[in-house]
Amino acid sequence: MNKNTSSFPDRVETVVLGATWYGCGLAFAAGRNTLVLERSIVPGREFSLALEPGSLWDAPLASPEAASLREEAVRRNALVQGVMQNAALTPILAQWCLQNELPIRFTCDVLNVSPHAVEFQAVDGLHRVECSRVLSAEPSPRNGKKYLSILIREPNGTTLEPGAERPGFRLFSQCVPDRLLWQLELDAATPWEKARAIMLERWAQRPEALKKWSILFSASEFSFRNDDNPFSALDRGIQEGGR
Amino acid sequence: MKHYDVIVAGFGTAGTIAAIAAAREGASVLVLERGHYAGGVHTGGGVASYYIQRPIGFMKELDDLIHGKKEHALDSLYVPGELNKQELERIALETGVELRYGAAVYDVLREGDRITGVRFVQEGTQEEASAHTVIDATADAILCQRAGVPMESGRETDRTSMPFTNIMLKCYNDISDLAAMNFDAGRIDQYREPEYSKTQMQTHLVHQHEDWSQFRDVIVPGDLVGVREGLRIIPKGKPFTLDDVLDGSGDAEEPIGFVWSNLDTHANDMPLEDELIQDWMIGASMWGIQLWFPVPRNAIHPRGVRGLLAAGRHLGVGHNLNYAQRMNPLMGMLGAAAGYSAAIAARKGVDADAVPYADFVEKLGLPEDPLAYNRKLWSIPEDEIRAKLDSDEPGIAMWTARRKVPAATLKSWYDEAEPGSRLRRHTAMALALKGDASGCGELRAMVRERDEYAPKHSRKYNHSRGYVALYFLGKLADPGCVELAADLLKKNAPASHPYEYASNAIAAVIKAGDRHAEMRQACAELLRSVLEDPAWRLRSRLKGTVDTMKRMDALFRCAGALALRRWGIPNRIGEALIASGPDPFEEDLAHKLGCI
Repeated sequence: MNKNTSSFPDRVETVVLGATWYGCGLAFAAGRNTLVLERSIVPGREFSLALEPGSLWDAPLASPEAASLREEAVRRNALVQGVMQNAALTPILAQWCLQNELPIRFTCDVLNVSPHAVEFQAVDGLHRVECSRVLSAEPSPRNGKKYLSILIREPNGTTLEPGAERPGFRLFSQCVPDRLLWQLELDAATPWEKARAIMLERWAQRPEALKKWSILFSASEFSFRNDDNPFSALDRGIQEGGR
Repeated sequence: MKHYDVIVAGFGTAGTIAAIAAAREGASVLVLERGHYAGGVHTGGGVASYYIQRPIGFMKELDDLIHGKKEHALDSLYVPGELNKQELERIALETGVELRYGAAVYDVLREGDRITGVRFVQEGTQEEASAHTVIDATADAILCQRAGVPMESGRETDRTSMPFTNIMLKCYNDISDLAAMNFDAGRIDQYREPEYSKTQMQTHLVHQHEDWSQFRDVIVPGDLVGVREGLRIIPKGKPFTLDDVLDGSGDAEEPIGFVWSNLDTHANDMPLEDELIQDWMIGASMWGIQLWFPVPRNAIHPRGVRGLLAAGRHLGVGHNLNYAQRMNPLMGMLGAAAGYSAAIAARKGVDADAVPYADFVEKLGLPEDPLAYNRKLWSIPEDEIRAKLDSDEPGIAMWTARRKVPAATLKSWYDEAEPGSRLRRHTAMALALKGDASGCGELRAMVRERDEYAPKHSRKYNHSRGYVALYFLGKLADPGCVELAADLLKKNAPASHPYEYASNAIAAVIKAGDRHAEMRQACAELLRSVLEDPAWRLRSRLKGTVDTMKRMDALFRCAGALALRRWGIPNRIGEALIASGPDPFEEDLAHKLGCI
């Protein structure tokens, strides 16, 4: 392996795998001598790119940082009556990462992890960084399940009748009434192509109340619901990162 | 290790078409995609629509198949990205393509100069696969880089590429799914760390809003970097360039695609671009003029290796051509050519570049002699050229005169015309395009007057003659341009076009200093008086962009610092650049160029 090490440190104390909300919390607590390797280009992808609707938005948060970001989301009208506008999460978290100088590197594909080193491909080539510990912040399945979130819309702008019959369709409100999130539960081993095939099969059999609705966008990341909401995930990372 | 006829790395705009084309041709095909869906930026990435040109050939066949079946009448340039994402995946699977999502390629396998396979990682497991032909459709040319293919990037002056878009997908009421909000988010070097990651993080802030209740239609960030340009392979044989289209016959050897487009540059620091593109964009105001741009077959064949093809925006053409050839339909055409030729190569047991052109050209569905349009455009007779120069739409005539009308004829028209008349001013510009300084008197008058007149031949970005004349005086290295530039830079440039006057003034002074050694001290003093002031700002106003993109002072400081270095004159421009608060890209560029 031809390793290009000039643009990355040879050694750090902690390597965090994944700039998820949880991963950012870990990195914040772990201190300056940390490196965060993120495969996507979006901090906090497990909520934003996964279109994860989240829950329990009022739950207590132990860290002032997480509580402050939640307040910011409310102040910016991004979190309104228990509904979060996913798009707003990215700039809010990005600003916090910049303010706290979190050393996040995007578009990194991890090739090999050992207890005290990580090999990976970054945009400028292949690297190996040694470390004292590796913390994984990659979302992982719980109870053998994962979820695909799909944004749907009623083209004429009419809203779903309260109590409309929709068996098997788990729907979540969005910030505007003519859009909903449909979340599809899948076995954790389901590959992407199979997940989309299931999505289309289920959609073809959707209940009458959804017949006029159409699919706008299916998420590019699965949701694993490791945390109730992004602020809880950040909070958990901050609590655990210093250990 | 499993063997395939064809491995396609990257399942984006080009890769999907390549994989399906190869599989339809009977090849066994493995696709390795580091993301999680088909189509890349053209589908889930949000840049779904076509720009001016609808697809042709195999990509059109797939579009018709998808949209005919789903009752989405594709009668506009808009493409429903979500539907394409689903359907391209379905078609690939039905055609027999083996899909591996979340699989990132990171190296090639090779025997001598032959690429025989790839190394990739999927869900933490490293694997290898071999193939008769590997198609690098990663757009960032990952496999071509690993294979040691010679590459180049950006423009000649500072190797800088076009601005990028930090994509955010929005729900538009008039279409049936999401599409990208389109704007420039600054520049990024997608091959440099840590500047790439810093820039990427900072540009997320362009989507920060104080009150999100005003932006409820903004849905999700794009998961792909919206870059328009990156590394380009050096192809086998001569690279095809914009000069070949604008100054040569325009014919490309064994074409595999044709693009119908204007030179859709997002570069809003045009005075730093290559001279031919400045002549076209600034000098002749030709931004919106559409042409057919051919792509020769060699653009997908990297130099120095066998068994490896390049399909995507890393195609082997010059930087200036990339402004037209980065479009979605061409990516599909490249994919089709790569997929078909790779499959036929595997069947015949030969290298892909040894497959006879006749074996696959019919499958590409290319239009018949589209270049006839270009030839007709440039076939204006001389008397009509003169009439057009005396009109509100002189662009085509100016460009045609550049090649076809002798300087002596243009000079006679210039001399016959009244000072200040349309004919005299446009003829002065046509002479300048030929490198002839006979019209400098009229050009200087246009600068002094701050001539606001703009021709009307381009559908957008027609430039006012005042600063166009300044551009030409710089191109001609007219000694008088330095005094005119000083007047503009030291006093205020016209309120209507402050950026255009200032940027062209700096570029003109640099060109004058480069040409006239005896003037360098004066040129250097003028440049230093502006560029060494940390408070000096140069904000672009050519396009509607976010604030991060509007600042152009760092790039022009770099250009000035490089000029003074060429002239052997010490300066403190680099320190001023740092003090002015550059973004990570600009600071890195200044270091790379040795300006600091």
